[in-house]
Amino acid sequence: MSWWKLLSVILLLYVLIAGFLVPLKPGIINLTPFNIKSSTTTKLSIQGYNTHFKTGETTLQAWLKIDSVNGYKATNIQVLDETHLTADFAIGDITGESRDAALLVTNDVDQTALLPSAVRISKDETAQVGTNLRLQKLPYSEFGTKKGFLFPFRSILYETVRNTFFHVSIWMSMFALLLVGLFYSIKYLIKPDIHSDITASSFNLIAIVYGMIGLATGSVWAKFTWGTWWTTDIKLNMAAVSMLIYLAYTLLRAAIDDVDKRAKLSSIYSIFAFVAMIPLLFVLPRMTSSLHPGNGGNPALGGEDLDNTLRMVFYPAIIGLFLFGMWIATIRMRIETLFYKKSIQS
Amino acid sequence: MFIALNITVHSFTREQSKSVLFYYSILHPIELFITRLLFNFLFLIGTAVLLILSMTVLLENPIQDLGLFMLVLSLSSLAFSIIFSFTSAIAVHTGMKNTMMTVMSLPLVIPVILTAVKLTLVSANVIMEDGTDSDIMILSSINLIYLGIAVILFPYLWRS
Repeated sequence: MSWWKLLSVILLLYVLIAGFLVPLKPGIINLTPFNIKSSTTTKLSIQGYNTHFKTGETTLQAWLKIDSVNGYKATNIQVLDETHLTADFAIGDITGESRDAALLVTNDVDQTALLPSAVRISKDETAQVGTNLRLQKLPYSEFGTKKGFLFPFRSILYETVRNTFFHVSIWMSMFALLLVGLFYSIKYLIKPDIHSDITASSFNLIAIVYGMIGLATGSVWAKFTWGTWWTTDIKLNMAAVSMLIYLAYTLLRAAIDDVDKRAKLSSIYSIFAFVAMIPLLFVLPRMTSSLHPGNGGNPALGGEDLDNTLRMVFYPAIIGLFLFGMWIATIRMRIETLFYKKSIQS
Repeated sequence: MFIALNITVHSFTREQSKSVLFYYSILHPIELFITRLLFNFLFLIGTAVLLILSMTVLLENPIQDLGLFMLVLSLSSLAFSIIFSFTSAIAVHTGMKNTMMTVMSLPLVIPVILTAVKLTLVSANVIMEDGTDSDIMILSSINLIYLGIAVILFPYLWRS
């Protein structure tokens, strides 16, 4: 048994266990009402996720962040249970018609949980002037994020942030497997050797399976974040098209009986397919607007979205999936080699 | 209406080129490929121009920006002829030419069709769009990439 097969199993087990069991950081998922008026005191009910409002009740603070410096502090916080609380906010006068404010809830147990654009404060025409005094400086020294091995809490994504380890990394390892396939296809054209072709086709085949899984996991993710299994988004369509190109590759291989001819034609086609796929997946979606992250103004991986705890599972996931694919490809190669030997003998 | 016209142009010319392509499958590498490609290209352009003329006579011409339209037309015809020339060269070696031809070329032309349709709509003022320059860049770079890789790979197809 080769070391890398064992490594792939260990990495994948680690990814599955850590990817599913590590909890999210505390966050806020709901706040009602959304529309509030300026110069009034409003009672807001807040629903947290993975929070410990009850445990950290003594140090609990809630703030509505108006700008980078100032905010309104909640008074009369009533904790109902670990994830529910109500708080009164005395809102002062605002400039302009309306403005969005973010909600910050902080305590010693959870540290700070943030909900961006939590409420919309609209101007109350009957408001008295001078209530701006209620604005206070935000106590940044008391804000912080919870320490420990926890995945970040993101609005909209919530628990599906874990899909990063499966959807994103399976596409990346698919690409790596296709690169190996491309390498062996070129090698076959330079020096025709049937084993190069067997290697190339095995790697391409498992890469196609990976691509299908990538499409499926992406579809599930889309259902939970965008509310639909499939949209006519350019990135999604181009991914489907590139899968079609590679499905044509498998059909092409199936359509030719002669071994050498099949090897040559499929090598040529797979190089063409790979080159054709690059503008489809990496150029076209970037040029137009797209819902998919990484295209048309949406942030891609890196920066705030991929924090260190996600990286600790994400990179092992890519390596583990790639090695696992390599393992399956070698099994496939052995089967193909046996078929080839059999076809020579007969 | 114009989308329909555009799509008919595409599908019509595609069927035509497909049947014409199989008439040649002997002779020698790159020159042959280039000649064949040029023939297809001219054929596509010719058909498209004929179609536009007849459409203009019979109906009205909705195109505002003729220069852009012709540019898009020639670029996408070039892309089509590269793709069809190349895939047909592969397909003639297989048992079922027509099926393989369609299966292989269809996914390859989809991005070209999408970009071309969008640009044609812009030239007909159906939609307003700022990114026409980058779309033309996309079309030309797709052409360049496909042409380059096809020319590199074509000699290998003829070695047997």
